[in-house]
Amino acid sequence: MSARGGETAVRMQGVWRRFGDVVAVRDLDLELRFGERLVVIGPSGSGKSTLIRLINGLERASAGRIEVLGHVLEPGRAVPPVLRAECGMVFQQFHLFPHLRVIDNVALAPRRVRGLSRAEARAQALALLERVGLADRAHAWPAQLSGGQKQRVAIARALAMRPRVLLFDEPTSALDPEMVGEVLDVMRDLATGGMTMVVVTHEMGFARAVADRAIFMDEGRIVCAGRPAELFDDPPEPRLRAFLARVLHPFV
Amino acid sequence: MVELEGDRIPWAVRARRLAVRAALLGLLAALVALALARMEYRWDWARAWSYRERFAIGLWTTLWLSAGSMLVGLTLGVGGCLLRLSRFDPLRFLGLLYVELVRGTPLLVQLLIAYYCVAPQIGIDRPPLVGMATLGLFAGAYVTEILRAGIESVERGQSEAALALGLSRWQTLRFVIAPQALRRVIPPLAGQFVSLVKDSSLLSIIAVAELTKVAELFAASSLKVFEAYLPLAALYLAITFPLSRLSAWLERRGAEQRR
Ligand SMILES: Nc1ncnc2c1ncn2[C@@H]1O[C@H](COP(=O)(O)OP(=O)(O)OP(=O)(O)O)[C@@H](O)[C@H]1O
Ligand SMILES: [Mg+2]
Repeated sequence: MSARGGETAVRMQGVWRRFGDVVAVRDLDLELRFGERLVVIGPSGSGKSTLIRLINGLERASAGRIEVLGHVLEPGRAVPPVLRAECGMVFQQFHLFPHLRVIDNVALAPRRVRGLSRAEARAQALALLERVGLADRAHAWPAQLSGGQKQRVAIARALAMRPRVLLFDEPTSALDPEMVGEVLDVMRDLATGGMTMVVVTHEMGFARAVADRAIFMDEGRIVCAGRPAELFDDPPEPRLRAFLARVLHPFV
Repeated sequence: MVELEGDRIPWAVRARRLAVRAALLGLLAALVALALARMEYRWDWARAWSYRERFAIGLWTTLWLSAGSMLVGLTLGVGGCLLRLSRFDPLRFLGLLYVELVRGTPLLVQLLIAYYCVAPQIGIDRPPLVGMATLGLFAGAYVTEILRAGIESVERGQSEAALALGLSRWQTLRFVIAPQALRRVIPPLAGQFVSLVKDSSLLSIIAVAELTKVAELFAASSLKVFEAYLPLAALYLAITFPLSRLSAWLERRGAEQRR
């Protein structure tokens, strides 16, 4: 389907990101094929957020080469706006626009960036809200929604730009447990539909069921990678083993 | 947030609150009346009343001067704020210079410099115009900081979400940040306008016939100082009080709409 970028959606080579003395990502190599579902796990501060924010240019590399959807993100150069539009992102804290109704949250970017008319953008937004099961809340304010509903709107908002890659940064970590399922269901549907996804998450069940590949990060490096089931059932690395023990049995 | 839901407070509570407030006002008025009565002073309100037309003209002048200055101030404030938020360091520095120079020096000095040094050079000799421009420049520095603080009070996640959708920096500011900031800056902007109305009394020193100047002239010619300045205070209050109530109302209305 993709002429531009060939088979590869994201290619990172020797990428570093420093914040002063802190090295958030060190000498990282990563390739992501179109249609692939990648899950990123790792302890707090290991550089997971930095990694996926480097992909859409919200964070800029200190060194190294990043190529996303055929665009090269050079350090010090502005991020091509098309890249951001084609590379959607869903945040842990949703970041819905509180001054816009749900439907206009979804319609804003297509109107302003793609130049759709208000009616077109709203029709499209409504269809997307339908897809995440929230058509009936289209005219509510974000503050009137539950956490799970907010995150589903955020996903619809990202989809409205018809992205070729979707990035998720701990999309269920801010949710009450009973709302995690509804968001994961939407994400699972997207995966089934063939969306290229990078998901930072601690939901091991989701990773197992949906991801083609998982990477485990620690101290800014990818420590190991592999099929989720293999990686989780037979962790090849003591740090991963320790991490899994903590995630799977937090109270032991 | 009980206070927000005015119409749900039981009427008995409201009546009691009203009675207490009225009593407090009455007490205050009695104290003032007592203080005034003890003064060795011959009141002559008839004289003040005969001056009412000039007071009215002064009031009108103060009103349009303040409104005009605020418009100038808002315009300069938007410009100043864009300078302060610019990615280009020299522009940021210009913005900083404007704010610090204007906020760090007395308005009185600014007026004198504008009236005696700058205005003659550029051939403007109308005091109200000079006054309005100077007052606008002065307010603009404060408006700059109010707007900047408002914009910076919007969480970083908002602009990140907008940028991640492909909006440009300008579109992010225009469609996501500014609308949220606007609601938060209404109260401080109204406060700035209230200050501006009172600061406009300084224009009397460059011979603008605004409210304070009228009171000064009346006091000087009649030697009736209190009859000149008490109405003056009351008239300023008559402008500023509705303004602050309006701001409170706007703030409440915004809060209700979005929650
Ligand atoms: N803007 C920033 N300024 C300074 N340091 C930062 C910044 N962003 C991240 N860091 C640091 O970089 C390191 C990696 O952070 P990052 O947010 O990528 O970790 P993470 O794996 O996402 O952690 P978490 O699970 O807590 O979200 C941390 O030490 C963090 O303190
Ligand atoms: Mg993180």
